[in-house]
Amino acid sequence: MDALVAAFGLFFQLPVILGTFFGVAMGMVLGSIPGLTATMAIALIVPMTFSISPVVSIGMLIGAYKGGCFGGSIPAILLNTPGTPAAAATVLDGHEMAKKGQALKALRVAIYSSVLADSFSDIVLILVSPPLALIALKMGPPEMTGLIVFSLLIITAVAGKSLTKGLIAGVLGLLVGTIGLDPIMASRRFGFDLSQLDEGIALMPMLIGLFALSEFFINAEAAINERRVRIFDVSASPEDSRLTTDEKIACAKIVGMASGVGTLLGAVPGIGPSIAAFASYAQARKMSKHPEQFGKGSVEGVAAAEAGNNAVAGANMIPLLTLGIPGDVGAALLLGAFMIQGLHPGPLLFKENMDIIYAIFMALLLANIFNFFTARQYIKIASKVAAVPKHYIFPAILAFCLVGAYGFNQSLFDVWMALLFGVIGYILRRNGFPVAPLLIAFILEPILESSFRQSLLISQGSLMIFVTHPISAAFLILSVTGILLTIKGRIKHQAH
Amino acid sequence: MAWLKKDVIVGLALALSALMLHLVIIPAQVAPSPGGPIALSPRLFCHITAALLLILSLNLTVVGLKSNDTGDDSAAPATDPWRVYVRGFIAVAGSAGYIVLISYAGYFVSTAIAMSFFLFFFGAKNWKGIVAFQLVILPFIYALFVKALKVVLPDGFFF
Repeated sequence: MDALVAAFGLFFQLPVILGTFFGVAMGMVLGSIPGLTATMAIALIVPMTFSISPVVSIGMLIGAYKGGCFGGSIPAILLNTPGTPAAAATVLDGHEMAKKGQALKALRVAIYSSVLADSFSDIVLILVSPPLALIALKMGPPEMTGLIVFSLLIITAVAGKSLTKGLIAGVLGLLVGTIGLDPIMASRRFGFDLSQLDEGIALMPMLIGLFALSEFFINAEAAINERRVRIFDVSASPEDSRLTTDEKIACAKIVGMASGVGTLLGAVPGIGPSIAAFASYAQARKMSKHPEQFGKGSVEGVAAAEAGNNAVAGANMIPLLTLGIPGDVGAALLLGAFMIQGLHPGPLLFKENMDIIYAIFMALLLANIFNFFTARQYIKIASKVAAVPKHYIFPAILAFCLVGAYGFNQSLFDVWMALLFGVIGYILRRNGFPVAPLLIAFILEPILESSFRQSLLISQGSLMIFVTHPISAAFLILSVTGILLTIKGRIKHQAH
Repeated sequence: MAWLKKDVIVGLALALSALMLHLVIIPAQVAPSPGGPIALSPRLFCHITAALLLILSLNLTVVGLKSNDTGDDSAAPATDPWRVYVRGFIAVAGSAGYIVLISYAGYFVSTAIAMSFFLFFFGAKNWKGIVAFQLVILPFIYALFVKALKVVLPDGFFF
């Protein structure tokens, strides 16, 4: 109780409230510009927080994280270019709705779904995380290995049409993750005599290249004598900008389901919003009365993807705060920023800094409120992009992508990396490979490799350690079961 | 040559890459084990992932050979595929040229040149629109990155 009172005193001050609002606004704007991404918003805010108090920093960073989570759906809907990996699920129906002239409706669905789901998961976080910290102390290297393998298999199963291609993309991500210094022996790997590779591939250029630049190259293929000058036209009909009562009822059920799915998945360490978004989307298609409309501009599809995606934001804080494991790119940056501020996420944080924990909870709830009101106004501006001819949009995307890749470390090497991954993403996408598993596997590789090798050291080289530890064995059984069920489902689908 | 579907070609290419990794690249680029437990070897995880890549790519090849469709999941139009590949290649080459130019001419000059090229490439015909685009985008990037976010953009040799 004393910690809660102390947190109130810490948090409800004008600088903290203004900092949270600033973070939300900046996260939303930067997250909505292709090539800049929500992660860039957090990365660019981090240096600003060095000279301000920890609580203001926390408010600003969490605001940017939340604002960016929603902001990433704006280019996903308007430009078919997700601003975050998780928004890749929003593209499936969001951009189709925009092409039918319903861009504003899609954006409105995205706002309501995001804020409702996010608030739900924040409340779960507040109620569940302290006791979960005790359980987290029981997670050792074998358990972490099993967990991350399970996480990666879920991503590859839902991210694309082909399980094999999804797995290949994941393995490629793991391979790319081995570039740099070995986590245990600190020897160079795949340096190719380039000192810039000693710390491995930077995350931001990879994200920008795989998603935004690959989209640029795919659109460059289109013939210049196409009749359509604009990306899409905006319908003047009120029905195409607002939800009908039936649509609201249908979406409410979907948002409820996706909030639960996103919160559950987000609480699992290593699982980010991408999984939750795709899993929610898949479940929504089963629940919907009109599953045939999914992939062609279904309001329920957008609601499910956005609710699943954003429900992770609060729940993601559970493994982040209790175990120190980020579930996605943005959470990884938050982890770094917290550590810079002297906070070390993990079980001990709940013992020693409970007032800071409560301040984080308050920042999460306040950021949701700011997110809602800011987004309602911002989408009216953002949707004007429909009026801009696409021969202006795509060169602008390239300019922002390259300056975004450069701005992170102020290095031209990162720009070349972004281009390289843009080409890799372009080739992968043209051949039917999903790129989200590659990115997520890359992020999780250091944890997976360290845990795996530590487990082998403990067991003196025996793989039985992953079976004799119950939690690890449970995750491995779930992984195998999940893969078998996925294969069975796809064989059944192909037979139909 | 019906067996030469896209998935088969991609699978074989990946399998070859996996073998190259195992036999050539990992031995050349990753330090050997310092002795002691295998878990200490920097090459362990690299070999495991390369082996997984080999297995999965062979699986993709087999699936591709068994499949009845062309295995084309891409978004490219079916007609005149070489023209679209050429346009894709030009976009990649143009982007690479843009980055090279940044080192010599600085960010803003090279961006102005590259944007003009890509505007024509994407179908802009009105030169006034191109100029207006530059007058909006370049000051916006300057205001956001240089002034607000304090990013120092490259100057180049000449500017």
